[in-house]
Amino acid sequence: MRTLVNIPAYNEAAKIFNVVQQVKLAGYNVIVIDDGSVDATAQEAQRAGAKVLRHFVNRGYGAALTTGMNWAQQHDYDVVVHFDADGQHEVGDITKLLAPIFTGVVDVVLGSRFIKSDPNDPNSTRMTRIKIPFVRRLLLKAAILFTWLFSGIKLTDAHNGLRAFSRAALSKIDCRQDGMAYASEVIDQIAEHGLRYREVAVMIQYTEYSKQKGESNVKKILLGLRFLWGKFVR
Amino acid sequence: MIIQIITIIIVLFLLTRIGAKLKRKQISLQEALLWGLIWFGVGVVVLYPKLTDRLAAAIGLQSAKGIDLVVYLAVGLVFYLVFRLFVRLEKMEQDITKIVRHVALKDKEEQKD
Repeated sequence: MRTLVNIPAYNEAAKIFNVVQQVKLAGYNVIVIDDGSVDATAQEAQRAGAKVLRHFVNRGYGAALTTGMNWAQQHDYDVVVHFDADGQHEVGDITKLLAPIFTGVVDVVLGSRFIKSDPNDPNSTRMTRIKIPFVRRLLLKAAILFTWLFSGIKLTDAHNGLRAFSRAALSKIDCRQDGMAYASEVIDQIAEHGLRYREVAVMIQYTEYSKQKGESNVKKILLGLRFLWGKFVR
Repeated sequence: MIIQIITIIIVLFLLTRIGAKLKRKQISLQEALLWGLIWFGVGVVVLYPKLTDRLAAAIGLQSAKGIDLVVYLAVGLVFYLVFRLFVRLEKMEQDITKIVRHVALKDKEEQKD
C-alpha cells in the first residue's frame, strides 16, 4: 500500500528539515504543504527530500491538510498520515497508526496521548510519560467533552495531530475548516460518514519550541465556537 | 428642532448615495430598494415621532414609548445584517482557500511536466 505522510508547515524552517528527514528515513513518502511561510520552510523541506506544495497565502492548518489530502487522492495513494511539522511527534508512532488500516480493521486511526493501557493490545501498552502543562490538560479534556457532545464520538484525545486515513476515508471526508477547528471537524466527519476508527497511544513532545508556536489558550477556546459556526453555515 | 433637520439632511444624502450606486450598478435594484426603504422609514419616524407611539400601542407595547420600538427594530436589523455579513465572509474565506489550493496543486503539476 502506498502511504503518504502529509505535513502542513507554517514558518517551520528551524525544524522541518529534521522532521522530514526522519520520516523519509523511516521509508515514507512525504508531502509538505508550505502554508504561506515567510521563512525558508519550503526550501528546507525540499532539501530534506519532501515534495512541497505551496499556498501563496497563509490559509491555516486545516486548509493545508486538505490540500495534501487532495494531492494524495490525485496521485493514487492508499493511506494518508497527518504529521506535525514542529517535531512534537515521534516517527516510530507512524507504524502503530498504520497497522489497523493495513489489516483493514478500521478506516481512520487517531493518535492519543491519554489512552489507557490495555495489556491485550500491543498497540496501546505504552502510557504517555511526558508531563502535560496543567492548563493544556484541562483544555484538552474540555475538547474531549465538546467533541463527544457535538459529534457523538467519545475519544480520549480530541486534538492530536497524528491521524491516518484509508482510501475509503479519504474519499468521504469533506472538511471545510481552514484553521485549527479542523481537528474537531474531521472527527465530526468520521461520525457523519460512520467511518470505523480507533485510537492508538502516541507520544507528544512538549518542548519550549512547540509551546511558543502553539496558539494561546483563549484562542483554543474560541475554536469551539469556530467549529460550531462552520457546522451551522455548511 | 435641530436634531430633526440634521437627521433629515443625512437621510436625504444617503438616499442620493443609494440612487447613485444603483445608477452605477454597484448595487442591485433589490438592495437599493431595501436600503431606500430603511432610510425612508428613518426619515418618516424623524418627521412624525408620534407615529411610532401609536404603532407601539397598536402592537401591545404598553409602557414603552414609540422610540423604544424603533430601537428594538434597529437592533434586530443590525443583528440580521451582521449575521449576513458573517455568512458572506465565511463563503469568501472558503473561496479564497479553494483558489489558493488550486494554484498549489497546479504548480506542482507544471513542475512535473
